[in-house]
Amino acid sequence: MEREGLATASVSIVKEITAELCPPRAVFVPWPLGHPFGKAGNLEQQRAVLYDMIELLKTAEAPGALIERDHPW
Amino acid sequence: MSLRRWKDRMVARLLTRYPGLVKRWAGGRDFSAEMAGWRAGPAFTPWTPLAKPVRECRVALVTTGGVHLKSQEPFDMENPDGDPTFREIPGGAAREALTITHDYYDHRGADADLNVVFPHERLAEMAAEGVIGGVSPVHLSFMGHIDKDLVERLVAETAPAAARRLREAGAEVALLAPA
Repeated sequence: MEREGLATASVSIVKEITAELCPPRAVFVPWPLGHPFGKAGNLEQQRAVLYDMIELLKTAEAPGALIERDHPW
Repeated sequence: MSLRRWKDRMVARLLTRYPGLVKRWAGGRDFSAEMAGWRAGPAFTPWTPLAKPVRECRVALVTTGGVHLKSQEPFDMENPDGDPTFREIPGGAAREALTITHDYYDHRGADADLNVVFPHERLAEMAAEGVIGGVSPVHLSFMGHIDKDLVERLVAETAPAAARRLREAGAEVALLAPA
């Protein structure tokens, strides 16, 4: 997608895989598989991840940019 | 349902319940070697800087959560190596029109609230608030279990086609989420 001219940001659920593959911009969330934007019905968690992705798009200057939050589950 | 599909679903529930199992699974694999022709690391990662402020950009979602329109062909749950195809989801698709076909993660949370894997309602709110320029007319969805020879097809064919499709639809930013 970046090669095609789209700026991207990704959610990371397994940090080890993200570290190995080095996506352009990633937001790590410490939540179980199947929940990249948090719990069902938790709008604050969903928004927080999206806002972190937007933040990375604004601020990251090179591949491998990572935001890591200690969100409670 | 076949015994194999039932077993896949049970394994998915265990992986969600016990995150330590996921780390053990990930630790035993060499993902960059499994991705044909992929060279991992900052020096090799493709990079497109943001061309204009996010508040002026059309934003697309890309999920691997197996989301699709009920009217579309479901992802292939019979091939044990998975399904490297993708589905296009209209930017304004109603929740009632969407479903999930994916045996390889526990999607009971996403079934209850699709925004857990595909935050289409939150994205629409951000567009209304002016945080982003707008919602892309097309989002994309994959089914994230893709293994063996199908990885090569994903990297060589499906992923470039998916990226072109988003670009043609006018998206300038893609937000990607695994499930």
